[in-house]
Amino acid sequence: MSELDAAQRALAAVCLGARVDEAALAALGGDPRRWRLYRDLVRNRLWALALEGLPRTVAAAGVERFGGWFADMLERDPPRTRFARDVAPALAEHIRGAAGDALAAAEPWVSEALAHDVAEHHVGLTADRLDPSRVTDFAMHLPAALDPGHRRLRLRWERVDGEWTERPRALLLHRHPTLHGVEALALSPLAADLLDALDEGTTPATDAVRAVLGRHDVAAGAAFIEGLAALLAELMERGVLVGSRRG
Amino acid sequence: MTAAASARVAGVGLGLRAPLFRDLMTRAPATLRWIEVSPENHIGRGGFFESMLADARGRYPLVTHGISLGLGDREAPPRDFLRALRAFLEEVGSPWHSDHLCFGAVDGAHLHDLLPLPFTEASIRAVVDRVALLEDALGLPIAVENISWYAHPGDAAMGEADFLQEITHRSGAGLLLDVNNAYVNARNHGTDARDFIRRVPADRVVQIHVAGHLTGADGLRIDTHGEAVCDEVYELLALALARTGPVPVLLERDGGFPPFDELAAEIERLDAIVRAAAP
Repeated sequence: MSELDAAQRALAAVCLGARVDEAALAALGGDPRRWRLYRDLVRNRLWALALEGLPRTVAAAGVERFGGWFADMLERDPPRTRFARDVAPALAEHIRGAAGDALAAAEPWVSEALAHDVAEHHVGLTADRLDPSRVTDFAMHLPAALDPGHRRLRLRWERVDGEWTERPRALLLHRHPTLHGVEALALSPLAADLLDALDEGTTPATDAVRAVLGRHDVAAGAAFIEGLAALLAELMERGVLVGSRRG
Repeated sequence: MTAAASARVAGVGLGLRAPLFRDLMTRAPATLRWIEVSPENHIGRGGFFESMLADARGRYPLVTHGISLGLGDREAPPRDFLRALRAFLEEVGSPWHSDHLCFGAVDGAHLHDLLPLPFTEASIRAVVDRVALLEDALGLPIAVENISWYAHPGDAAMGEADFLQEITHRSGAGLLLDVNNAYVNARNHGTDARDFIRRVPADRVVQIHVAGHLTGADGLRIDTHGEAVCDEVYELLALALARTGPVPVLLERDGGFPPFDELAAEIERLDAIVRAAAP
């Protein structure tokens, strides 16, 4: 290993280790306080990105445990992305790998918070969009075309008076078409299933709606038609339903 | 670099940052002439950042400044990133692309900071090779920026000014001279910033960065880009411009955002220094 490699690995070890690597510190030479400053600068920057990107997870798990996952990631599985915005998703992936099964079994609200954070992060930043040449005006006899940047979540847990309580609900996360902020729309169980069916991609919207009606034992009467029209209009206004897929 | 793209970038610029964007587009002083963008903040990103870039591009010439190509990294950046970066640089019409004389990634891990290279022959060779690779991959001239460094790994074989001289001479790279970093380093290491400015290769300077820094309780200066520019840094800028002639000057502000009028006043003060230095 060259001296340049050795110096770089030594400083990385000082910055990323759960504890300061004293041998690496000595190898770097000079005033150890200055190398500890680098450790602080690196960790503070990454910590800020983690907190900003995973706020619900921090709240659900507690800052101390979240900090433990963070330190573990830096030591064993440091971020391999050059994009600062992808540090939080990398930590989310690390948490899933390190503790995902245990969390899902014992504290499903933490897993849910993690999924919610990752979904919101994705919706806020994604550049995914449909090729306009593949989209035409919305028509019920064609498959619906939904903006691929949106995310749908089915959540079970909510903190009520300090206690995690089961309150199943469905959320649609999307980006405002002009202001770009992430917005959340609460969906009824029927609307959530309709959206799942419409997003299937190849089934004509009419058939997708019929299949959901059958499952929900709902008649396609005037009230339903009116509700469906309102839902589709809202989805269009929010930029989630962008038209129909061309054949 | 095309002559037209280079000629459009002159005078004082400001870094494109989301908290500044609205003011930048609605009430920036006329003395603000160009904008610096970091491709890593925009590549593969939609929504507000995509919209902000499009608006800025419609109004100002853009220059790119990278934050992830540590020029002393031992591993070369992946080809898919270089392809995306090249496409971005072509899209915004940058006359050159700059990044830092540092390392930031080790064995695939990105530390997201500017970590110091030793001032040695091995570092020079590594950076010269990397500049050649980047110029070939990106199709644009590369400029290298001096960083704030708080400690030096191992023994230095030369001073920082000689390090910059050797790198720019051997690689042909431009120099993005950060006068705040020069000041921070001089204060932290007990050297003379004016002497440093007098010794850097002035003929290689294509751009200058100016910023504020934090002074800790122990007197250590930390390059934060989160404070106002201090008087000594303005003086260093004047000294640098007297040596380099007219080159574009960028005000960096990445945090602690003040009312925009305060930034506008800094831009005006920088513009006055640039004008005073013009032949």
